[in-house]
Amino acid sequence: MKGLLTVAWKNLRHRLPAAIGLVLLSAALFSGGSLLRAMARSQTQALETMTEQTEITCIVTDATGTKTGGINVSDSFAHKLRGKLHESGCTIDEYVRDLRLTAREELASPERAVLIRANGPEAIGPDLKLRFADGTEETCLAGTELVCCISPNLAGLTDENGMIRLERRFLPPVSLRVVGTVIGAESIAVCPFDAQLYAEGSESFLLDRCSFTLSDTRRLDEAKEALFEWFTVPSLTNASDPGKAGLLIQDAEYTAAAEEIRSHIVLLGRLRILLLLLSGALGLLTGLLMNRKRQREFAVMRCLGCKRLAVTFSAATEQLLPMLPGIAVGALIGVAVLRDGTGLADGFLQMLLYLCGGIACVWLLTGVEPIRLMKEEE
Amino acid sequence: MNLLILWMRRKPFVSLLLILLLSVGAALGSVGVSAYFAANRQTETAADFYTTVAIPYDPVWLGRTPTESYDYLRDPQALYYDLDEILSDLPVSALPCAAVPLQGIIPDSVNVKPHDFDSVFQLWGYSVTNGPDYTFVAAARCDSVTDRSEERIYTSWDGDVMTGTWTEKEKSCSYVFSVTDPICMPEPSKNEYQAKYLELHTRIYRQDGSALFEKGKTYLLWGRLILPLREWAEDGEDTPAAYTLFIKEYDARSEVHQNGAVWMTYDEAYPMAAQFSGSVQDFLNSEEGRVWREELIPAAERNHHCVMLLAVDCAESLAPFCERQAELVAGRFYTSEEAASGAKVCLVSAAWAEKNGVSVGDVLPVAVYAPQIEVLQFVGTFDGTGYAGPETDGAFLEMRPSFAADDTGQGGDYEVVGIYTCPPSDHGSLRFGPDTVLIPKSSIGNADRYRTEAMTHYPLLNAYLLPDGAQEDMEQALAERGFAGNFLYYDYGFSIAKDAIGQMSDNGTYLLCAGVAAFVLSVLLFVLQQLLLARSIRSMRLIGQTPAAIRRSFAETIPLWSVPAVLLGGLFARIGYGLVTKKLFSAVLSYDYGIAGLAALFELLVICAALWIAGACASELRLMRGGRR
Repeated sequence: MKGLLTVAWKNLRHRLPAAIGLVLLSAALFSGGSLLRAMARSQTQALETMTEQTEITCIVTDATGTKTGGINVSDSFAHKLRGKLHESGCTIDEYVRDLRLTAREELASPERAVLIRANGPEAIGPDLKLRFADGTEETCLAGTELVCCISPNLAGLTDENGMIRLERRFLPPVSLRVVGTVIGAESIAVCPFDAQLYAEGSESFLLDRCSFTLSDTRRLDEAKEALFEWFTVPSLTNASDPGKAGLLIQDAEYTAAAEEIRSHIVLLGRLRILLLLLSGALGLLTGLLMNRKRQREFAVMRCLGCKRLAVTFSAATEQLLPMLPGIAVGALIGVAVLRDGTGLADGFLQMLLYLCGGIACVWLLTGVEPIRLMKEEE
Repeated sequence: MNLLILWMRRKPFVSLLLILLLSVGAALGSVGVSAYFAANRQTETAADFYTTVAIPYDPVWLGRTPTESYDYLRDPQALYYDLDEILSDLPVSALPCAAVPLQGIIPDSVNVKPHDFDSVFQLWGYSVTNGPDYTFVAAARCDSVTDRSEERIYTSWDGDVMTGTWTEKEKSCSYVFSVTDPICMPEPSKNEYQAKYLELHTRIYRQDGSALFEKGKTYLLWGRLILPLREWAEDGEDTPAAYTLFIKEYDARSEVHQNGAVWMTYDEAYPMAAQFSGSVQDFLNSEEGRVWREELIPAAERNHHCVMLLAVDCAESLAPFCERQAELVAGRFYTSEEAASGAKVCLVSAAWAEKNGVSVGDVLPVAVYAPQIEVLQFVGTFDGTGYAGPETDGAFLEMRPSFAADDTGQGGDYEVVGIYTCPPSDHGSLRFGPDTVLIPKSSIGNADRYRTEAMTHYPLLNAYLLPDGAQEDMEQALAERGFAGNFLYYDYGFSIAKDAIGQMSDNGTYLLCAGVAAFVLSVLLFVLQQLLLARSIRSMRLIGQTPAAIRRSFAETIPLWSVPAVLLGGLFARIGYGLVTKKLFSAVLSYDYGIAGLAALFELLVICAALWIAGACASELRLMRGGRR
């Protein structure tokens, strides 16, 4: 073994320019492989970060898409989005967070007053502000209590207990405890979305506005597929029907940009494959260039008793030795440029393929039969 | 005989290998260049999906988030008149993208009713131009006249100290009309009934102090109607007989009030009225009715087919879109190329499209009317019932109905390229909604001439387009000029995506460097191999060939090496970049032959130069040295 290594080393010293060439080639292949890998990885990470940070808002519209407020669709859609219809097989609530719901109802009394059901202050939009009395949390809108905030002009209608009686058009009147003030409009009362206003049973109503944020942008496609099982794509050709709701998913910019970035990652992947193939080919090529004239030398070594494997080992070592400084230089370049060592594994894979190519070539060349070679020489 | 060519012929295999080495280097170089351009193209494409907008707004809203501030963008604010000047020397390019409101008449169209949506783009209060309230002409009998004059108590203040009070009688009168002939009234839509009663409450009297209308007489009225108040009977049904429309008066000119405060009077205000007897038709056919026949009734009818044309080069720059309050539901925005070329394309709202049976691809005949915007100036506070608050300090706009004289003769057939939807809105004097049609500014000749100075008060109309990701630089530059916090920035999420997009650009550079490095390396190896022919070259010199002849010999081999290498390299690049991996990955990018061709040409030149240099070096070999020791 030691003898074979010595032979390999001496051979390299005799062919110094070729050895330097091999070092450069190895460095280039290694750094190329590790760079491509690191680039693909950092690009993928950047895409993942972008995906995590992107918040995609979904707006429920009427079936035609003409309205995003006053949509007048059934409150069953709110139930679906809140996971209350699992028994019907609707599990879209797992894709939903920050659900904002409102419903409006014109009251018979006070005159021209409007009752807004909302599941939070954010749901009622920027036009109205709620100011809660001391000791009252704004989270009360998320509950089922019979409480409300009222516009200042309705304040005179409250009784000594702080209750206000609201006459509904088609249902029995209801008394709500006033817990705050509505700023921004007159004759408005805002109560919790889930307040049990009709004591004698469940009540259905139409939604006024509904929007939510996707819980996980990474599952956008999956969420879209699930959501559109229950919602329709808004289109003017759809018939207006409270039983149908459209859904606008504001993902155009994200989807388009992510598509471009993914195609870029595909490009990097393709280049990696290309470089891997090229490494094997270059291994073959350099093996051929270095050893093409050494068939007689190999034949002599075989005649002297060396096994074909040993001869191959010696010749392959000649190819391997310049690889080592090449790998070191390549690794330095790869890490220095991208400051990321994750691509080194790909660099080694690159070099492995390169070496395999070289060994395959040497194996073919060392397969020569001395007798036949001598006859050919004659 | 050229010995180098002879060497190539004698060693075809080695020559082939060397050509292959060069061609692989050339292929890698081509792939690097192609990948660089592909990555940059992808970067640009990805960035194109985003629009970065800066909108000036009143600093009083400093500290609010964009979403909180958005609502206030629709109100007139004290913006800077010299915005363009402020932004002129910035290191960041801020492209003005001001929108110009115009009137558009689309024959046979119906505008969206305000009580359906109440979100119409308006310039001040209710505008007749786009349907939140209706211009109407009707014959109506005055059924009642009610004096509503009252004593009002006023207070005077010196700072926070009240210095005195006085009372003043304010005259006002209410009139109720029953409609006898709705000559030009809005068509009732679902759940609506044709108006039967009109009510007018006004402080206008005749110069002699008598009431404007007399009970029992019939008038032809021209004016505008504001939101109807629905009356509900006990059974919960609408009561048609009680359906009343209120006539809204126009604001007119300012006048100094007797107490010194400045307020708006109703002098010269609408409605226009003409008392007549007999049939309406006879009155209209008479000379007295000519102005009604030829001007007022056509103007009212035109306004029923009127839309707000918003001429803007970049629809995405409008705050409702930036804020994601408005959203495309079909089609697309018009492109910057269309906007620049003045293409006749437009975006309409889904509500308007539904009402008029319009879809993407349809063509709308649009006549453009000059908006006849009047700039009214508040110079003080209104002392009356508070229809204009003291905070409204500055100019505001008033639009007049579209008369025949306002026709600009411009317009044409506009193709609908997109349909948007937008939410209702209860706030803001500058609203954007269902009756707004967006068109490229350059599709109207010199649209900017319709801008008025007062429009600078409306943030919504004064957007600036920035290069993506430039808002921080712009804000910093503005801060240096003392204007920090005066702009709201929207970028459609670019700030989140910019790292991922920037990474693509970096990758492109790396790929280019790697490709070029691989090519240079292969050329170096090849040149090294050529220089290893030193013994042959020395022999050529020894048999009498001059250095020039050696160089010539090298030059003669240049095409033999370079052309096949570059051709093969191009082929390898094409195969490697496209075909081989196409089966492994879905092909997303097309191979750019133009760029690859340029890269190949460059590589050809480099190989030729390298060979020429190698020849030059080899020809100068010293004959007394060298040889294998």
